[in-house]
Amino acid sequence: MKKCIIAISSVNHAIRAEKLLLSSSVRCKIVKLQPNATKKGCAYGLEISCKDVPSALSFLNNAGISYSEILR
Amino acid sequence: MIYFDNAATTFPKPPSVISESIKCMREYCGNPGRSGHDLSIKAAEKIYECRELISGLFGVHNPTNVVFTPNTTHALNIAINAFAKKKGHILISDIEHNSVYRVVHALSKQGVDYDIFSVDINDVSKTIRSFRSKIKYNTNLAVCSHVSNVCGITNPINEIGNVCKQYGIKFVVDGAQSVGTHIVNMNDNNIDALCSPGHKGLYGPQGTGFVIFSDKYSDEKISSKLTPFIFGGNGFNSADRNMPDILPERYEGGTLNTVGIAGLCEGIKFVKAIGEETIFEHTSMLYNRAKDMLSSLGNVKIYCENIKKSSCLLFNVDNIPCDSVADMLNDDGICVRAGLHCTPLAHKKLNTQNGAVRASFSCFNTVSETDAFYESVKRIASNNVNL
Repeated sequence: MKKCIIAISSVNHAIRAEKLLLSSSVRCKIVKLQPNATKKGCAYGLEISCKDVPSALSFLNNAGISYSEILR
Repeated sequence: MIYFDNAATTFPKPPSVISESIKCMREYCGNPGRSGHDLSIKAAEKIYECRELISGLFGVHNPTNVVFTPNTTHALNIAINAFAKKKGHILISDIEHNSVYRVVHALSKQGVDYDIFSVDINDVSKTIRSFRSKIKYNTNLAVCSHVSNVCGITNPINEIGNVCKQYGIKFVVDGAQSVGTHIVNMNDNNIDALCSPGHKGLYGPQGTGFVIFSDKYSDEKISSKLTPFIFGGNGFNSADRNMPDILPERYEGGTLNTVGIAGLCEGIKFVKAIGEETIFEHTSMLYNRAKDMLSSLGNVKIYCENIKKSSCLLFNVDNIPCDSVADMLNDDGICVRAGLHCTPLAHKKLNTQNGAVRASFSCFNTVSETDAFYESVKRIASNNVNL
């Protein structure tokens, strides 16, 4: 199963996103990203099955949780 | 020992607060938001749990709108500076603590104007008239305490919030003496930011406090317009020289007090389990009992005696300096606070510029403690008569 990462800079917003996705039956896990993984340096992300990315982004958008990019 | 200085900080703390603080120190006190290892994530999750509990207290949907601070003063500095504008005008009430008064006074040296409106202890409409009369063309911020730390005067925050909404004025509330005993819905009361200690009515450890912004500040376009106050690292976009645009990181620079916040979590659960209204009923019962008994002493002056429900009682004994009364009570094993309580504005209003003695109650205080306090004041008062 191919993994993708939804990059969310803030650990607080990453936890909020993780709770939202888990409660919506989307499996995910918080990970710390490499400093060069995003343009602005230190960030967190949600590791998630790539096939779940579209539904996860839909949940995040509806909740107003912003993410910076999708790392594949 | 009888502890009646709960308006300064509550004591004792619930056992669950102590045990969780110790557990955090022993088991999961990593640095939150800095690393990906288990301890760092666990610390961040505990802090997020506390954000959830706090946002739930005030009807705010987004837990990330909670910004942790070391105390209310720090929170008020953040909130006031977030909204203050050069050539703008700020309104504060005449019962404000120095945590508001000194901040706006300092801002006045940087081109920010301010005025003080008068709180009528018995008539809300007079308070609102005074508030409205002070609004100027450039008034952009109002700051007031919900409940006074001196003698329990309550500001009509709902009505003030409504006026602020009409005029497009940002509204900051100092909840130092009301959080934990009064229920506040920020969205209903048009409050933009509410500042609170964690170590008073929420029974958390000292070194904890927070400012919570209302839901509209969840929008990055709006939060990015809030003026930053603390600058530094927080594990967020470290390659960027600017503070983040989003809450809470816009205001959380440096390592958070994870131990204190872990304890605060349990303090909030403790308060919620009892209920804010039940706690306030209890402290008000003790207040009224103490007030009635002290009023029976001819040479004891009670201030704001018309207030029916309060967690603190302000008084003086005859012509004895307030600090001497506090010292004599301390000799009897009773802790109270004397002086100006960092609130010269309120003492000027009450004509107690030489200070007064404040006894303040928590949910742990009892009727028998209140009766012992009365006996001690009675002895001090009668000894003074006999001198």
